[in-house]
Amino acid sequence: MILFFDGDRTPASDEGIWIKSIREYAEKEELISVKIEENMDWNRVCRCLEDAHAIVLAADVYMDSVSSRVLDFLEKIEQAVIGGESIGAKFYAILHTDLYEGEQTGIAMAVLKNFCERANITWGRGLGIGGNNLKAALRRKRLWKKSDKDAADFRLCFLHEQALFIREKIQGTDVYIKPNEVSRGWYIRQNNRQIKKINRVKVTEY
Amino acid sequence: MKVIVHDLRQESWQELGMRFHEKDIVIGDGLECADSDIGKAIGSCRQLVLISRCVYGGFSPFIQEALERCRNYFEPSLEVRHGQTHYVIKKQNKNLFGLVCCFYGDNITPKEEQLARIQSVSDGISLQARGVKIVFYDTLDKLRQIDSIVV
Repeated sequence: MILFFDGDRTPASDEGIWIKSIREYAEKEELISVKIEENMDWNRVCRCLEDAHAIVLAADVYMDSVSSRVLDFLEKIEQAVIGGESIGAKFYAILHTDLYEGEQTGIAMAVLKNFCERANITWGRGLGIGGNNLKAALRRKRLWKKSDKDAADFRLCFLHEQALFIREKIQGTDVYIKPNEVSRGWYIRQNNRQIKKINRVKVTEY
Repeated sequence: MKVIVHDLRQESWQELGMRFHEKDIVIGDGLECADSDIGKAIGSCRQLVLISRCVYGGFSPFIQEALERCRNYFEPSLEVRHGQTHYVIKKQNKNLFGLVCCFYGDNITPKEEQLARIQSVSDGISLQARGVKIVFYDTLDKLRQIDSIVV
């Protein structure tokens, strides 16, 4: 069984892409999705942790860290392990940021690895995604041509690769990606234009 | 003026006996503070002091939540600084403060300490601090020494 934890702070525009990509490549496996939130059914989480073969955490990164809620949740898991809970599953991470460089998720990834060491969980593999706002930037620029669609999906082949590691429960080297199809300057310009446009709409509405 | 954000329990905080100036701001567990207030306070301070339990080589959930609430300190737009993408800091907040990151805990591994140092510097760059000071204390008693670091 694969246990998927959704640790995103806010629902993204392409919500579900992380779990969809896993489901596609691990159809035969039972996949349980749990949103990390304040009022969680902790008994259910513990049961799932015991039965899982792979644990996947998908989360956004801000100020070099996953959210405070996710940190809180990880500490609870560690406490459960100290209290006698046994977790045999490998831990996989999918971290993403709107900043261009995927490496900017590296510190948060290292925090997760330290958590695994403390909780005696085997690290599987990490995928750090930069430029996660590319799809929105492209759409708003009305350049939604076929070639741009391909560029927007730069994450997919890496997500599928990650899904294979998860399905086979094997360990791998962490990977950090960015949208190579567009330059950093272009990405920043598009992102900033999009924000200006949103702000203009807000002022008009006001 | 300095801003202190800490995750200590009230009695531990009071035991520290830190010196304060009239305008200093203290944000601790249980103290209500609006998101905009945190951003504004950081934007106008000379020193930002984060006192945090070291959690897996990073800040504790409470301190991390305070940093998340600093969104108001930034523009949503991006720019390149030190060869990496960062959020633009609002013009009125560019006052160049010093950042002090004080981690405590009796079981911090060398790996976690190294990571906490990296995260502190990286957050200092994101917040455009003029300098970053990082200290570690393994007991709450030693934490009293922080008084000699803050202005």
